[in-house]
Amino acid sequence: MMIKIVFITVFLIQMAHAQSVANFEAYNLSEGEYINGADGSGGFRNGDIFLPNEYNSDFMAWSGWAISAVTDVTTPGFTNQYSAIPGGGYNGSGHYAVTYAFGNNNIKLTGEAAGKTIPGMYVTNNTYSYYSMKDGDAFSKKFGGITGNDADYFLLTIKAYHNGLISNDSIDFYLADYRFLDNTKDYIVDTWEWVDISELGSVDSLTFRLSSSDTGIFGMNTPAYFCIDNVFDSNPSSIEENVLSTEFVLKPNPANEYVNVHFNSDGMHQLELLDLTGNILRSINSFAEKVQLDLQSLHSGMYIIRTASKERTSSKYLPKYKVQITFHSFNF
Amino acid sequence: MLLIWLGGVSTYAQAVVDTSLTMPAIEITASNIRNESMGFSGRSWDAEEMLKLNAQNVAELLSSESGSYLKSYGLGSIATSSVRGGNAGHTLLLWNGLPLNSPMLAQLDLSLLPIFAAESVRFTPGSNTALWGSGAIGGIIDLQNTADFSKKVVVQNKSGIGSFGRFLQQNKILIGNQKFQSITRLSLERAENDFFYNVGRGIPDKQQTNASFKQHFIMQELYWKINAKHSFSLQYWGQNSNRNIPPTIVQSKSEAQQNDVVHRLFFDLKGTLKNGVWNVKGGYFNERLDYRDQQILLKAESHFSTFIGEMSSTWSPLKGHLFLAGMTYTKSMAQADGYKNQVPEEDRTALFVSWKYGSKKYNSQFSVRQEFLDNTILPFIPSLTLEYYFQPEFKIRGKFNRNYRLPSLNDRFWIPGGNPDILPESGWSQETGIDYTLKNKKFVFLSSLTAYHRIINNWILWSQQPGEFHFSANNITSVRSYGLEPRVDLSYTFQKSIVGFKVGYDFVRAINLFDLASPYMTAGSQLIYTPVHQISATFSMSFLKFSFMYHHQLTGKTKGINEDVDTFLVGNFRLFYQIKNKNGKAGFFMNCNNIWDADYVVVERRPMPGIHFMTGVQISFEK
Repeated sequence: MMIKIVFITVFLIQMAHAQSVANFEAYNLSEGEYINGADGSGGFRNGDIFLPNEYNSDFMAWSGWAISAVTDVTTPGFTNQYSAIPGGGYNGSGHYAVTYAFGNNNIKLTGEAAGKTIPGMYVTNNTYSYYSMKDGDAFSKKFGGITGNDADYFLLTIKAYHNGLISNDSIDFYLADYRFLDNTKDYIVDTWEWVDISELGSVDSLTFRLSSSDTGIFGMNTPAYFCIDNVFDSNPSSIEENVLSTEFVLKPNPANEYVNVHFNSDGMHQLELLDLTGNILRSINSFAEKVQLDLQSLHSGMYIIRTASKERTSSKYLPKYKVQITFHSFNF
Repeated sequence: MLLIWLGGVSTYAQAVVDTSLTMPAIEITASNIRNESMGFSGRSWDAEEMLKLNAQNVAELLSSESGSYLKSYGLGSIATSSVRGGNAGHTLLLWNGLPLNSPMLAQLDLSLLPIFAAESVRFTPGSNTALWGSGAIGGIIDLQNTADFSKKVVVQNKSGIGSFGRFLQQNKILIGNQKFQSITRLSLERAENDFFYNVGRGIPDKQQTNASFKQHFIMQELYWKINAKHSFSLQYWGQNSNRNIPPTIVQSKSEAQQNDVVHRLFFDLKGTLKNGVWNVKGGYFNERLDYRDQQILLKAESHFSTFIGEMSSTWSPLKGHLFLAGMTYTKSMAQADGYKNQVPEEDRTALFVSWKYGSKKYNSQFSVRQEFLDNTILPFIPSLTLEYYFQPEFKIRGKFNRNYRLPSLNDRFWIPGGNPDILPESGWSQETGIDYTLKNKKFVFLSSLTAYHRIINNWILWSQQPGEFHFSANNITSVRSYGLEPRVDLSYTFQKSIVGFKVGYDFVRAINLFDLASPYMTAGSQLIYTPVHQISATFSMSFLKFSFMYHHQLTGKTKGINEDVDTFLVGNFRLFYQIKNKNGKAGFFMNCNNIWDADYVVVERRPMPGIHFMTGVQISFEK
């Protein structure tokens, strides 16, 4: 006899706001310390990400990722390879991750974060790379060359893997850019910079690749390092607006069938619902204090609510989840 | 002393003398069957000649000579050679026949070899590993010290000053008699090397920084003629070189420094047999390299010791036949941060035999070598050389041999990247040439044309391979080298003048045979830092007490690691004035290098100085 039993399972599709920010502070390193995988752990798990590490105990050499609390920003050269040029983690924090990425290097999303969208992360130069580009060394050139006019660059390219396929799209972030005709605009990144990677969409893992204009037959001469912090953080403009803005509140958030947008100021508000690629899905002009948006026709995922008033433009992420009913059959 | 009739010799210096069909008798020592191996066109300089040259070290000496490409990182900086498309490890450096190449690197910095250390220097292009062992693939440079028991007292001084704060002081003191000779050599050389170099049109010249060097050198040679059949010598070579490592042209500054301390001890015992000679010699070489860079908080020390013992015998049982048999034992050990807690050692034992036969029309030499590295049997190395005289003035020569070069200790044991399983480089080479000599009382014409071909398999390179996060040593490719070496040397004597002109051209193809990802090189491409074309021309003239020399060198375009290195032409000039009397000589010299003030680099990003001078005096007293 076959008995059909119906189970109803509710899946909340967790969005970015439900993912924990990987800020590496849990490693509890003292200032100046780092861990480079010498314990053979094979990597570092923090928040919802895993940063692979390969350590060769015979050679006492590492690749992949290391976790660092090094603050020395004056010593050039590879003896200072674990340092981020801002002198610590993002926003004055103590910890950050540094990678040696001669080839491709990866971050894996774990647990419930796997397959989700990552808003972004903070990125900066490693101190070794920074001074190598700024002043040159025995193997690498000073960016700009003798005249300062060389169109040098140090580029971080980020791609995503999802379901085993690599994304066609990529995020390019210039850790240094000397390609400007006006040399005063040339720069080497020396602060933590937000890199929005939400455009890559659903992600199982991220892959990072560095390229440089200073490349010879043995490959890239610029030291292949960079640093990251606060992976999964929200877009800083959103954070700022979320914290500071009293423009509007979303309820509920995350939402399922609808969301109410409560405005905290008078006057006309232009309200837009966008997907992560920037497509405007709805656009409403309203003088009301509250506007309800019907979300039933939308797929689950991450959306953006953007409002514009006379004073300013604000935006917030809106994760949409769905209730899913699953039928499981059992034969007895 | 054994005098024996022997086949023709082939070096220029000897060819000037040996133009008669009935070959002259030459003195046989235990090693000269190796030194004067047939089939090669080489060059040697004695102390008298070297005093007149515009060169202080082996790098500067070879830079004015055809057949080698000097890869110089700048004035006073590291210099290595590429001979016939080989790399720096393919030129074997010898001191009195014992290899000086660092076992850690399998090469030696030629700028650290003062020619003042030697009584003569011989440069022999071509493969000769059967007789000399690992590394003698591209060529051999041999610094030799010998005694002249006819001398009693010799005092020599050479002092000079030059551009960029260069200062030179060399002293040689010989005291001896027919039984005993003591030679002491002392030298001090230093320079600031703070030259200006051009960085581009409309941009002020830039001054080189952190490029100074100071080198102290001492050598003590003791020679003892024990009796008519036996002689003994003991020699010590001490050297302390401090030099700063200058920045590249795309580097703001450098604070790197390098200190090289060398202690070399050599002994040589010789005796004669009924039909030959025997020789036992040995050496202990101890070198320390201390590299520091305060800017990047780097301190790297390395140190190696090498013990070498060699026994050999040369004998002639039959007229025209000359045999050599010998054995060399070498033990090397090294210490460096890069070896972590290891102290890598290697034991090498080599057996070599050579048979040389000479007749009026033709000469031949067949040599074999079998070497053992630790418990490994290395490739068997044979070599066959033939020479045939169509006429007394016209000779054809050919050579066919196998080559090898052992991996260095760094190649095997460095952490990370050392590869204990790495194989020796090995391959075969062929060489042929013709020599034509014409000579009368006033006119000497020497010419030669040499063609060679060589394949080296298991070529060792350090590179970062896919999946690796550090550089490592690998047998990465094979390299085919071939080339042509035409040479002409003319001299004409009239009244009290001698006019000479020498020109040589080197066509060198050194082709990588496999597509490589790292270093990125396609199959069929020329190796980096190996110019296809080089032309060297020297004009010299002496008149009464004056002598004048102008040397011009064209070095063709070559690929570097990051960019091409353009063709460059450099001219050097030397004026020498010397007066002599019965007991001594006094001379004045003035050298002008890069007389046309060419902007050039030999190694990319490493500037070379424009026009610069050196002047000084040479005084010698002899009794």
